[in-house]
This record gives sequence, C-alpha cells and structure tokens, in this order.
Amino acid sequence: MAAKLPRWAAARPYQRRYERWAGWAVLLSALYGIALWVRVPLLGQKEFLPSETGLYRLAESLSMGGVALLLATLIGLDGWLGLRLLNDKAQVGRIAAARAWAGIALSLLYFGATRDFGGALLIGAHSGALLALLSRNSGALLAYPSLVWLGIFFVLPLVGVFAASLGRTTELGTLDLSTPSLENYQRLITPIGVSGLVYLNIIIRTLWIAFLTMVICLVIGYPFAFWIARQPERWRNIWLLLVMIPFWTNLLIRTYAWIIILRRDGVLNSVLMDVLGVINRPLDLLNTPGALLLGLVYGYLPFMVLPLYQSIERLDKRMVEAANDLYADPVRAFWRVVFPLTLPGVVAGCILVFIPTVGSYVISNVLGGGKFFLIGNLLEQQFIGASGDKAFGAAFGMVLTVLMLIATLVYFRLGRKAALT
Amino acid sequence: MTTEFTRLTVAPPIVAPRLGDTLRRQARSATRLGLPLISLAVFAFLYLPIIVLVIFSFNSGTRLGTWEGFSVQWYQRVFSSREWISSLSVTLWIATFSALISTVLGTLAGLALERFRFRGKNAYDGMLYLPVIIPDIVMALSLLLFFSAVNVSLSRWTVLIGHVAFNTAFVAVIIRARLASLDARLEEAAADLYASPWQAFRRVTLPLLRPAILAGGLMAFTMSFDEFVITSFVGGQGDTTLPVKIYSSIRFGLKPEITAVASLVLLLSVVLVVVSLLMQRGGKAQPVQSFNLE
Repeated sequence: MAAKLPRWAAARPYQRRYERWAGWAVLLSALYGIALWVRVPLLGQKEFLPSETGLYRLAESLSMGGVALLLATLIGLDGWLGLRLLNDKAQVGRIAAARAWAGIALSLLYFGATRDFGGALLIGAHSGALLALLSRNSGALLAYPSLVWLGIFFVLPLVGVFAASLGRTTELGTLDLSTPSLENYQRLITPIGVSGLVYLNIIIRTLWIAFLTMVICLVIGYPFAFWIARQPERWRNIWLLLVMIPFWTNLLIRTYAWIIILRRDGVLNSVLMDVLGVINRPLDLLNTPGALLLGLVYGYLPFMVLPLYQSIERLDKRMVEAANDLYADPVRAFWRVVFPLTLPGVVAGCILVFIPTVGSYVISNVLGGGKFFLIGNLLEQQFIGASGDKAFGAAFGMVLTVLMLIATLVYFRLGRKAALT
Repeated sequence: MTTEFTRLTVAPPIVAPRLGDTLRRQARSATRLGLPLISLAVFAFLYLPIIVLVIFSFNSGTRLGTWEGFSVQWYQRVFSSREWISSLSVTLWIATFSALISTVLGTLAGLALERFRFRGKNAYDGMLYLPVIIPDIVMALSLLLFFSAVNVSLSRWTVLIGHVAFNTAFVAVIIRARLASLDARLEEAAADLYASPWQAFRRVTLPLLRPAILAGGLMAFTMSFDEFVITSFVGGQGDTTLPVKIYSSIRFGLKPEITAVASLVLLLSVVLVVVSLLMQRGGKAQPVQSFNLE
C-alpha cells in the first residue's frame, strides 16, 4: 500500500511539473540546434536530420555565416529559457509562451523560405507541444499528438482540396492557384456536346446506385440481424463473429472472388450448363449492372447488419408483449412497435452503407469492367495516371464531401427524431 | 398479406382475440421457418465466394472457373516470387509501424476525450470522427494534393502517414468504449489511497485498458494491411503493397497465382480479426478482483 508521498513529490509543489517538462523540451530544441550548427555551418553536410537540407537552401539565399549566426542566437535563447524553466523560482511562463508562438511563426516562415516540409513540421510541432505543456492541462497534452497528426495530415489537406478546386490544371499537370475561379464547378453542370450533362449524370447515377444498395442491404439485413438477435447468447456471438470477419477483411479480395463465380467460363456458368443443364450457352454475368449491385451489396452488407443487430438486441421485449396484449396482430406489432424502436439502428446502418458506396470505385472497376462510371471512378481517373485534371477532380471531390456531410446531418436529425419517438 | 390483416383487424371485438391468436400463430410459424432460411442464405452469400476462392487457389489448371485437379503450384510460385515477397515485406512494414503509432496516438486521444476537459474538446472530438465519415477516396486525393503541394515525394512514408491518420480515429473509438465501461470508482479509490494521478493510471487504468489497447492495435494492423485506396493514391513507385499489387494483377493480365495470394491475405486477416475480437470480449469478461494496488 502507498503509505505516504515520495520525497520528491512532497518537496516540490506539484504544479511545477509541467514547467519542468517544458524546460526539458526547450533544452532539447537547443541541443538539436547545436547538432544542426555542427553539421551545417561547421561541417557543411547536407542531409541527415530533417531541416538540414532546408538550412542549406537558406544559406544559398542568405549566406552560411548568416545562418550560423541566426542558429547560434536561437540556441542561446533556448538554452537560457530552458534553464530558467527548470529553475523552480523563476517566473518565465509568459516568455516561454511567447517562445512557443514565435516557434510556430518561425516554422511557417522557414517553410515559406525553404519549402522544407519535414524541418518546418518538426519546428512547428515542437513549439505546439510546448504550448500544450504550458497550458498545464493533461487533457490537452494527451490530445496534442493526434491533434497535430490529424490536423496536418487530414484537416489541412481537406481544406487544400477546396483551394485546389478553385484553381486550374496547367499543361504540365501542376496546379495553378493564381487566379481562383468557380470554373470547375461550372463545368460540372455544363452540358458536353451530344452526351449532355455527363458529370451531373455521374453524380445522379452514383447516388441512385448507392440508394439501391442501401435498400437491398436493409431488406436482406433486417431479418438477418433479427434472427441473430434472437439466438441463444453463446451462438449469437459466433454468428456475430461470422458477420464481423467479412467486415474487417479485404474488400478487394472478396470482390475478386466474385469474378471466379461470374466469369463466362466461371463457376456459376459451368454449374448451370454442365451440372444442371438449364442453359446451353454461357451467360454474360460480369460487367452488368446486376454484377455491380451484387458486388456492392456483398461488400457493404456487414456495415448494415452490425448496427441493426445492436438496436434489435437492445429492444425491450416487454414492448412487444404489451403490443400483443393490446391485441395487435404480429404485422402491426412489428410496424408500429418493433420497427420504430429499432429505427436508430436502421438509420445508422443506412448511412454506413451509403457513404462508402458513394465513394467506391474498386467494385465498379472489378465487377463492372469500368463500364459503370461512378464518382469514385471519375476521381481515380483524374488523380491516377498522367492525363487527369487535378483541379477538376478536386471540385468533384468537394461535391462528394458535401454530399457526405449532408448525409451525416440527415443521420443526426433522423437519429434524434428516432430517439424521441 | 398486409391488406388481409388490416381487413381482419376491424372484425367485431369479441371475435378479434381468437382471430388475432391464430394470426399470431401463423406469423410465428412463418418467422420460425422464414428467418432461419433467410439467415442461412445470407451466410451462404457472405461465405460462398470466399470458399470458392480458396478452393480455386488449389486448382492445377490456369483457367479460373474450371476445376482441373488439386495442386499447390500457385502457392509455390508465390513463395518463390521475389515480387510478391517484397510487396509482402512493404505491406508488413507499413502495417506494423502504422499500428504502433496509431495505437499510441489513439490511446492518448481516447484518454483525453473520456477522462479530461480542455478547451476545444468538442471540435477535437468532431475531428476524430471525420475520418469515419469522409470516404477514403476523398482522404486519399486530399493527401495526394497535399504532398505534392508541400514538396514531399511519394514513398512508403507517405502511405504510413495516411494510414496513421485514419487508424488513429478507429483506435480512439475502441479505447473510448472500453474507458466508458470501466468503473470510474476504481480510479477514485486509487486516488483515495494516495496514488498520484500517474500512479493511478499506471497501476489501475492501464492494466484494465490493456486488452482494448491490444485489440485496437491489431485492428489498426489489419486495416492497414488490407488498405487499398489511400495506398494506391499516395504510394511510391517502388513500394507496392500487396493489395495494390493484387489490384493491378486483377485489372491488367490475370495472373493465376492471385487466388493463392488472396487466400493467404484472407487467412491472415481472419486470424488477426478473430484474435482481436476475442481479446476485446475477453477484456470485458475479466473479473474486477484481478488487479491490486501493490
């Protein structure tokens, strides 16, 4: 049993801990600066640590002496501040905060001057960590690493897509953002020659196919989930595991398996022809709308079943009994009591199927043979391969994102409504 | 069917109960027979293609749909092919590191959200859920645009970065679910017994959280191992992962050994998922008495 506090904890006030960590962090940056100073100005080496290349580029525009002086100043400041932070009596919280903000500004300037992303990220992330430490909030500190990672590699790129959608793709395939315009969005709704509103048609077709997939999954998935939920508990877990396995295994491979079945010389045709003798010529099953829908339903059915199962399993059996006691026949009891009560699961399942279906392109490439052009196929075409128009693709990506956000908002609305009834 | 029922329900009240009873019995027998049949069909639908795939990976002929005899030649070819082995090693490298990093980040994020208060928490929470909502293809193209904008050349590192970004969100969800189901009084008891916050975490919370952390890590590994869309967008030329290689083999010139590779990948994923799911459940079933403060 912990009888009393250890001496180090009793001797120093507990609140100082964050400052001490901040002190070590600042000293670490001074040490990193020294390493850079030795390697770049002193030895003239180009790349080992991130930001060495950047410093080298900086030296080409300034001078090596200037870089050496700048680095030395920063090392001196950080060294002084770090030691002060480690000293319990010094009150340097504000200076440290200023140092952190300056570090973030410096990382942006540095990136602007050298285009060295790794180095700038290192400087900026370190300063941000310093700020998190100085906030004296353990929660902020714990959230910080994932905040940086997702902020820089997820949120920032999403904002970038919007910026890119306003730009123009040059003949070299690079993006030109100098004259922002809504041209790409206009192109979405402009008819092309005889084929008409090609892009709008792609969007509508994708939404329609996603809707069909969703409905089919619901119709198949509901009785299935209902059955699982009514099994004895031991078996229930085994059935659930069997649903979860396809949920987590490779969609591409599961889709590929259908090729073997549906090909002209595939399993299904040979069974129908040679074993059953129902047909005498092989059917063309692959590359049809049916194959595409089959693949989508097959791929995303588990996404429907799992939330459905959860809400059906949670259903209060007494409600159904009450309906029966009040002379509701089973059909009415189902539609008036069971179904409304499981509506949150229905809505969640529908959204979980709808979202990936709208963004999918692998299934339509593999089973539709590229004949059914969905939003995802168009995006793939714009970004993979040399001939794509990235700015236009970005505009299409924005449309897709907005559609998803609308779907999610609908989900939360319906979810709340369902929870109220 | 439905119209008949509605017609019958407006029958005189004295007769209604008896009719209702027979109807109920009918419906019950219908569900008793119908539901298992539908469920059996769904299970067949989910698993038949996989079974067919595995069977045909042992086919001796080159034609995909026709059985010509048993052989393990495709497996032999896979294991002796330098291409497949090298893309396996790339895949394992990415999956291992992305699982490690995203487990750490996701665990910290889950702790922050479930146990602490801080400014901007709601926005942070929303940001962590975004990767679940945004389709993977949008994430992939945004990363591609981003990396080219900041002058980062595509390699296995850029794939790793993308994988960690979406895996972290999933690990955080698992950790949060586990933390929410933990009894907060256990941590309070530790604090009452003069444990510092760190000691309480180290001795009480962490051991209780361990199954969820391991399960989350395994899930992240599996997702990363199977991931195709982001990898194909931001992967470097030399660093082809297994799913990307399988995809290009399917689309351009069907190599017969794909069935063998696909079966192997499937086997590995199934093992990982089963272990991870069992671990998550095992964690819940663990008796509370199994920890002590000493």
